Amino acid sequence: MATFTWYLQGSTPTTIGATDKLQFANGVFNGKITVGEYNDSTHVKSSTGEDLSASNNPNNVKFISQSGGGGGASQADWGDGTEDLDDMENAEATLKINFSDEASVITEDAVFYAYDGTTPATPPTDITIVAAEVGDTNFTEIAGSGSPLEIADQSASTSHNYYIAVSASPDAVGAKAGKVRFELTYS
Amino acid sequence: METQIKWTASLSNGETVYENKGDYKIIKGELSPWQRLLKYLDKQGVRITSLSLYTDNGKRWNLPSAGKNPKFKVFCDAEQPIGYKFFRKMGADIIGGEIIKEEIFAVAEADYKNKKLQIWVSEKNPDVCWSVVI
Repeated sequence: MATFTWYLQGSTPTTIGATDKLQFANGVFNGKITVGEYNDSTHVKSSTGEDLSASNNPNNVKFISQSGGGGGASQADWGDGTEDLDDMENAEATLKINFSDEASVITEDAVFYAYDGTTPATPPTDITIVAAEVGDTNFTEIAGSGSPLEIADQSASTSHNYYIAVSASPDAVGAKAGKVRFELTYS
Repeated sequence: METQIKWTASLSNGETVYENKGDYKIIKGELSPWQRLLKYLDKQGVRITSLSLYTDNGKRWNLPSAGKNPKFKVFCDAEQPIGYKFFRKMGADIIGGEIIKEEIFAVAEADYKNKKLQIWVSEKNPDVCWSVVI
């Protein structure tokens, strides 16, 4: 049977369990991001409020600009100052999503998008989330199933890894939450 | 856990083949049965004439056939698929306090000139099934 495993990457990856939250913060666990700014840290928060990634030096990718880089590339800061998005390497992305199956399968039509937690077509309320697959030139604003990040197809294997950079910004005051969803076809 | 929704296909050379039976058993680490079938079709120059989903306890979901001898007029007159495809669709959520478990559907697809007909059956509960034209 196929399985997904989600990791927040870092010096050591932090597995994101079914009841855990991926938290974007201002550089400190539970720290509030100013409206209109993007995350300075990313964490995994347990259902009991614990910082599960505290000792793993988790990666953070901060959106800087949509097209200010070379050749119109997006820019982001993943710890070394502002860089063009297409210079990011797999280990520098926010998330690693592993898909595995007992048989060797191809994967196609994978998409990654954020929604309000109830209706896939509805964007999260009062939060802007951008994402990119490593190798992409520009970020995609993943606002509901109508504007997903499209992930490249992969050839036959029993294990597939997808490296995704994610950055979030509140559009209004208060704690913001939604869901991100990953879908793929395999055969 | 073994997959419970599987495909079966009739071929233009008269063979009927089943996922996880005979040459198409699911073998750990080896190419999936569907990919092996595609290779076989290409090598032998045969095509799929019908595709269904089934369970070992007798449930079955059939796509329209591309066979030559349907028994009722409506099937004789109906447009026939020009191709078939099988895949599984998996989705999962993260972020937020709600626990959303992974969902997997087995999907059989009949391709027409300008549209596709898909049958979706849930791996976890085969009573949950849908059809869609796209």
